[in-house]
Amino acid sequence: MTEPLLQIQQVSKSYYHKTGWFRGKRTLALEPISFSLQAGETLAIMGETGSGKSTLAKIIAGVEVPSSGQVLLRGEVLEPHNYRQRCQHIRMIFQDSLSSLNRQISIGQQLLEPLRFNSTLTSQEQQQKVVTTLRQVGLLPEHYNFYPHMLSSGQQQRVCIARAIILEPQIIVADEAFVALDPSIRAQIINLILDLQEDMGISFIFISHSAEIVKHVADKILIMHHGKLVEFGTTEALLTQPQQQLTRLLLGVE
Amino acid sequence: MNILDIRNLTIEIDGDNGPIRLVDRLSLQIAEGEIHTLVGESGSGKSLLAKAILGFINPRWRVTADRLWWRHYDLLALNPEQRRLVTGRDMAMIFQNPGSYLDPNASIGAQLQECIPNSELKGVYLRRRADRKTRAARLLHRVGIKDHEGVMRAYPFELSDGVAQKVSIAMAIAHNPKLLIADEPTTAMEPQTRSQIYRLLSKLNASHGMSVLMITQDLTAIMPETKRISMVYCGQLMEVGTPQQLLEQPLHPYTEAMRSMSLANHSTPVKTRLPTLGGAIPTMANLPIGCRLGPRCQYARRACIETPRLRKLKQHQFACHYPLIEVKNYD
Repeated sequence: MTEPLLQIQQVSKSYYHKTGWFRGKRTLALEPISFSLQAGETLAIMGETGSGKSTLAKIIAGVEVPSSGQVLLRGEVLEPHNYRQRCQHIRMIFQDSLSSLNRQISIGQQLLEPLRFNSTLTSQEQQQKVVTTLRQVGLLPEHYNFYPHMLSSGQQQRVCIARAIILEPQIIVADEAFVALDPSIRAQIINLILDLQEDMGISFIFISHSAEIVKHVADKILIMHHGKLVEFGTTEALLTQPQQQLTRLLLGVE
Repeated sequence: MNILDIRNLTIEIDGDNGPIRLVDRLSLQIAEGEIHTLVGESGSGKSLLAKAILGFINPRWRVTADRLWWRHYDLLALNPEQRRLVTGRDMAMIFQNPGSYLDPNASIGAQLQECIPNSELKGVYLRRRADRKTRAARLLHRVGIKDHEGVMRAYPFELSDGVAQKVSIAMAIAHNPKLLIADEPTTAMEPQTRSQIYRLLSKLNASHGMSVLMITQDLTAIMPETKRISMVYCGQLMEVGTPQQLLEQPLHPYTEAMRSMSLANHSTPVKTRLPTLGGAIPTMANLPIGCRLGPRCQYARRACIETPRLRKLKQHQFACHYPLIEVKNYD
């Protein structure tokens, strides 16, 4: 058994909010949760609204700091706040591609930024890398000088994917990345993600409430409810022998 | 009998290089009590069509039609005042993000009470106020919200998506409209919430005979009670037919592509590439001439630079020079 790529150990998240001048209340958004993921696998996180699935994805990506527990990548602890270490390996894609891109600078500049901060390439190599990445996601080198508003929603999502893969990460976390896309564009983006996974061996963690996409793309499924892990297993196992009522409901299994 | 009858509706705006046809000769008929689904991707002009029916028209648009009839009113011949009276009495619309178009500064109760027309109330001042309140509560019960007091006190940000959409449906049915236009009411909603909204709309359709024009993006996530589907692409009508006709034997390549690329049919093996339409949806400024699917269509030939006429094969209409199955005897 090889060492898992990503290990989540007893990770939990609670928020503190004031109820009076000296009093406060803790709400547990995510109860201690543990699982692991092998390299090249795709994990789908499903659950109803407010089930803590976005919180979990944000903790993995490093956007949120867990209240307890730790995230291990290849046996190495990922420190919260150490973005330089984490962003090389784990990248994130968001739902609304236009609002996650900077509208003031060109596509090329946006793709250069992660390279400038996280790589030792010379500026010529950086330019070259941006162009090859643009080609990899099905865009043209000419798009280097475009601004986000000049692209269609599908192309914008491609730019977001390009920004995620440009540092050759090991894991990409996608939070509802397919919802806002048109059906014909969505199929193209799913194809792109499957191709990239095959070429680069990236693991995907994605949140979705579309049972069809999950069934098609995921190797493993994690079902959450009210901050608790309800069921975790391979897609076949959950589809053929779901243990919980919620799993049946979310996956549409009779 | 058709309550809404649209023939060759065209919406144009002036672009840099002459007029741009956003909606190109679209026809739509809705019978009384029918649930009609309009399927189209973004930029297909489906929301424009809804706005043209309701009369929310930007002065820059030129709306022309051979026929735009609502029951026995010719909507294009009415003056704006009269048109507003007719559409305001008979039609209502709900939108995609209920949370964002409810007024954030007013409680749900206040907004809901505002929607109840004065003509429906009885009595004088105090009596009317009480009546308004009870009617608002009854409306919430009708859309399946049991805790009417809590919801009426709440502000939009406190409600979940599904409840907010139910509130907006309650506001829409406050004056018993004959036609409800639902512009992508369930996009970006969870499947469970979506089926709740669908059930609610079909219940209203059955109990009040309210026609529904449902606008959606996804051919496979339509309301189960839909009688007919119209496929629109870039402002052109592609195919019209019953769900069985379109999902089992589509005649138009666009319908076929939309059907095959959806993951709901189980023929595509897991983790394989999906069949797609190549290319992207053309922007308004660069619409292709002729059949607008042309550049993305794998069956396109020379004849496709002319816009195909809408042809009819027993209730199944399609606009394609080269339909997928050899079709004879159409008119």
